[in-house]
Amino acid sequence: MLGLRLQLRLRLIGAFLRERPSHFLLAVVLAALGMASATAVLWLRDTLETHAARQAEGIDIVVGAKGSALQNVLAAVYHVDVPNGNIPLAEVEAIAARPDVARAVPIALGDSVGGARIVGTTAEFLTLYEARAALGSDAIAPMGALLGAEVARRTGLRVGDHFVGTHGLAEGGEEHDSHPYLVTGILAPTGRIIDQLVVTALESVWLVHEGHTAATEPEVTFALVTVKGPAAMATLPRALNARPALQAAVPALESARLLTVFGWVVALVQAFAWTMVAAAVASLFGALMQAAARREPDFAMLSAIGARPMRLALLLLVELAVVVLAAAAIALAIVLGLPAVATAWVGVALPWRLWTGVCWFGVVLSVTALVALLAGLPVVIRAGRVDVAQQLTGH
Amino acid sequence: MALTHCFPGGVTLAFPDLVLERGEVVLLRGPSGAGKSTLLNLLAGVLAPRTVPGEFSAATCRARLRVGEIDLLNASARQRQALRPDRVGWVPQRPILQAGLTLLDNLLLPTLFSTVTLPDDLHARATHALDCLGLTQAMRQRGREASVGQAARINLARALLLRPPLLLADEPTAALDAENAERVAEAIAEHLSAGGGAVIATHDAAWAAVLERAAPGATRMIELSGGG
Repeated sequence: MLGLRLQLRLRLIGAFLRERPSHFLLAVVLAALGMASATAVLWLRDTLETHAARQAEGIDIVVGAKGSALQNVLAAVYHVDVPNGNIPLAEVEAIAARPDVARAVPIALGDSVGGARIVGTTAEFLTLYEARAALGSDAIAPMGALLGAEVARRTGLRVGDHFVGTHGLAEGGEEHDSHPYLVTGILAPTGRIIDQLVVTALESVWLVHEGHTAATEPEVTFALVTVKGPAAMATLPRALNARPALQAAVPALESARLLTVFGWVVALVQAFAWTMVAAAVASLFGALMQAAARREPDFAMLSAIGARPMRLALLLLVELAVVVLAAAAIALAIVLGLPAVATAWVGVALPWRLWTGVCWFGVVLSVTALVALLAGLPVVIRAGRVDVAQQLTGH
Repeated sequence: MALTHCFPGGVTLAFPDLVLERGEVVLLRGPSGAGKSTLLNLLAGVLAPRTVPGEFSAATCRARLRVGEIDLLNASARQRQALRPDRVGWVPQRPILQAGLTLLDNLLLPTLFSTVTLPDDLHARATHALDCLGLTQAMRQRGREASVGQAARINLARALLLRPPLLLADEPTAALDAENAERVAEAIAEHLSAGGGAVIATHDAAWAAVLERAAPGATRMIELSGGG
């Protein structure tokens, strides 16, 4: 007989939900969109922070020309700003020779192709970014070019193709027609900035710009320095800044300073996320209110045949739970599809960590369901105490 | 002392003494406002008794209102609620069906709220009730597709499904034609012959005669005037 009761209970709840399918669907869709948007924003924020931190992995200090430290970090690590100037290669070699420095990778900037920066450097640059060739060779040779995965995808260049760089770091500069590059390899995706760069030898940049500068000795734009221990972090930047030609900037400090300046953006993003949660809660609360109002005659009938107020309240809660579960399933599907959509849309493979997304989804779902339940509890209790005499006899 | 019930607006209804024996049906008659539905609501436990305006005090009241061993004047809302569906089957004036359920499922709904072990022959009872009331063909219809007459008959069958000792029905034949009203009379007669009792409010003198024929000697008529 338990089977009969269970079947009947399920059919009753099914009948409730089928009664107004458009209301049910609307509540589910609104709640799902609210939860998915909130989760997406929170997960994206975490992912971007991770992404930004990953770009600077292994780079303890950026050494460049005197000027803005933040500008040097943005130009050398994130490749989104222009450098302050150049520094002598000899200075970089001197830094690399220090006992407290594990590695000082020189990079020379100045040209681009299709909006992607051409970086003159050494083989250590590939080691720094843990990059290897997916196609062709990963040897760095003069006028040979290794394309980052994203550059290869965007430009359509293949191993064996030639291209010329344009002067400057943005599109539309003067073309260096007389010095074409040969694509010798395409790098596998790393999820780091190297995916969006073209890597060549330092000599390529010098050769292309021969006669364009007044420098009498070889120059580079930056040195990406990895130190041997925390003690070096306390002394090395000060020592380097004491040199007349050098500016040492610590990416971790500059990023933190940038975040402080733009802290309101982070707060705004978080506020948006929790506004979405509030929208989802409002949607669930609305669904509950509508259900409670619609169910009054049904509950009066059920009470007439013996349903206790608690049973009626539970029926309403089960109805709410079905809406929450359906919305959660849709929201989860949307959230899990986010990395693929973002990659296809933005073209950047961000380091999406599934566990982080699932955790944020759990938080958003729990907060949404709990707040909706707490807000709706008086409605549920009132619905359970339906006035049977009034509903069924008018007394 | 006779039972009275005071509505919050000040209207007071008085009811004559009434003791219902097993196998007996009392037909409540009287003009609108005489208190037929009110008495049924009190007996069904859906209306809390108020014997004097203001707060009810059992200590100062000598009236009695009992269903079996439950003293409704002193019962809590929970105790009154517990009368249904196992001890009292109630057919309210306004029959309501769950629109999305079939008539058969509507009939079986009291099983969800019964506190006793369900009988093994439940399906046989349900089938028999549907057959007696002429609803076998319609049992797969949804509640929303049912006519008012079908809804009224399902309400009666639902009230009787678990064979409660007391049946309370408020104008159970108001929406029925003669043939179906006779079916209702036969179903009630079967309930009485099984040892159940019934209190029924009705305006329909012809149907009262039909019920008397179906349950000879079991019918008693009480005229309510409502005078407080």
